[in-house]
Amino acid sequence: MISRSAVSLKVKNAPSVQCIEYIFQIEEETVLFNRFHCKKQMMVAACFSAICVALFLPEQAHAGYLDPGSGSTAVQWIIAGIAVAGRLKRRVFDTVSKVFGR
Amino acid sequence: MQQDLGSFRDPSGCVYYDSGDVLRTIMPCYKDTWQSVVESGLIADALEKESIVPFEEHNALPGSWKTLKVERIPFISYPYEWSFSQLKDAALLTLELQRNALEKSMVLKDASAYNIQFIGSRPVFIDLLSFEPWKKGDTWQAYRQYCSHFLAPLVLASNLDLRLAQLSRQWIDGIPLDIACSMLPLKAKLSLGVLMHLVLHSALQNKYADPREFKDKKDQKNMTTEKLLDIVDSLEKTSRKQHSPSKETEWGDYYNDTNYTDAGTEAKLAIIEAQASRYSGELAVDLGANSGRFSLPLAKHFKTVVSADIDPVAVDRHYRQLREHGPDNILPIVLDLSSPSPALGWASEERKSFVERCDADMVIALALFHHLFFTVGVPFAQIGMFLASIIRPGGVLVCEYVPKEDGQVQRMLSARDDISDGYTRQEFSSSFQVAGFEELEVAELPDSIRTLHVFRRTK
Repeated sequence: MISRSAVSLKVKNAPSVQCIEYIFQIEEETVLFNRFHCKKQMMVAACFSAICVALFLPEQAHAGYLDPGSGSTAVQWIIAGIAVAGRLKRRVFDTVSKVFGR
Repeated sequence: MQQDLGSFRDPSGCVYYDSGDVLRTIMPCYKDTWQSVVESGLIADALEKESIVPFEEHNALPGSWKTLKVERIPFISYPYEWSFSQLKDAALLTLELQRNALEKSMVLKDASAYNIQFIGSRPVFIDLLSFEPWKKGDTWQAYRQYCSHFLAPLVLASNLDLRLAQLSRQWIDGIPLDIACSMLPLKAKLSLGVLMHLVLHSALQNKYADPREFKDKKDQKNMTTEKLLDIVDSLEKTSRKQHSPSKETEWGDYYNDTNYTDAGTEAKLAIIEAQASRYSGELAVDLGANSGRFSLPLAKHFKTVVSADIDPVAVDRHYRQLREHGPDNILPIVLDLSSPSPALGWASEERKSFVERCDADMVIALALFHHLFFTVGVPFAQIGMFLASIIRPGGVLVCEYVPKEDGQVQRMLSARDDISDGYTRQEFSSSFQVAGFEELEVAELPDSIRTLHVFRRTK
């Protein structure tokens, strides 16, 4: 993976059409690389928060017949929240790459 | 007319059997819902994709608003009889239907594994009354059911042992998530999907099952279809990630570990083919089928073939082969003949036993009885009575007698006491006659001391 500084250096040294195309390609790769890292970071954060939540919950099982389904509802909210955060991140990156990329 | 004893939970309608026809009533309370579901195009789409069981309108039964005549499932099987890939395909079909429903502002109101049946090797959704319009802001009420009916057994089987999928036989309403989580290794729990859908889910269930902790979470009505689709995506990813462990079992490589010559195998196949052609019918059952080599000639002459074996690896291999290459009228199932699926559920009537469901025109049992006799300790008289209970009167049994002198039997006896009293060909034939069979033919197998016997059930 070539860093942004390397790309800038390349621009300074050889500002030809082919080079600009090459820069765009590298920019795209860099964005993809960042996205991958963000996704990974997000997953780590989600795992960490899930473990924290699980740790602070009571361990003993209560009577299943009393379960009003609130636990299942709460999990759905958490998963939906993570998905929304992921979508928001993607949008931000798309916008950034549109503004500063092609 | 007889009501299906497993069809009583849903007030929207029931299933009845009327001289071979399957009728599903729609009660007046479900009228508006059914109309909305049909108008949404969801049913038409699912029929086109062959993901739900086909049906047509029928004269309404008394008390019902409408009655549907539904295509009969040739052999009812249950999740605890499915191999890993069958359960996974059933899970993915449920999610596909939920996704299609959400796209039309509908929702699956339950996600029970019993709503899926197999027509041959193809899964179909059978509970036509499981759809309803999605109420704006609602979460998916069947989410817990999906996790305990599908995801928990898949994750357990994938991460620990394929045989754990059969825990569904103990918990027919789904494996409790706390039990599933207590068995899972840490590595499995660290997968994001498993962590969310099973570990966190189980922990939150425990928390909110305590009425003192309940804070009317259901009052939050901000869920959107987009978010619900995200949940379906996440469940699908987690379910797809589960793979059948590549573990070899005792029976997983059976055909490469027998003492048949090619000529012997060919002769056996030819005899099965000839008998199947002579006594063709609706249902044939191959007991101890392994990966289904001898089920193939049956499939040409019977509408449906059930290939049963105790080994989940062999059954899974057979199912994947069938999905890829066909034929599509063979249903592989996992079945331990020493303890076939019993009747389960409410009043022991909700899920029928294997014996109740099986009324075969032909049963083949090749190289099986010596295992039942020596390993499980079942005498020929009991084997004969069991076979008579799953073959209809007039039906045919093709079975193999493996004498005590055979290398396989000698191998089995080498590590245990010789309990071969009563293990003779004469005793075998006479026990089956007492159980209600008449012997029609005996064929010697080439390059072998084994014999194939054809019996007909007379009473």
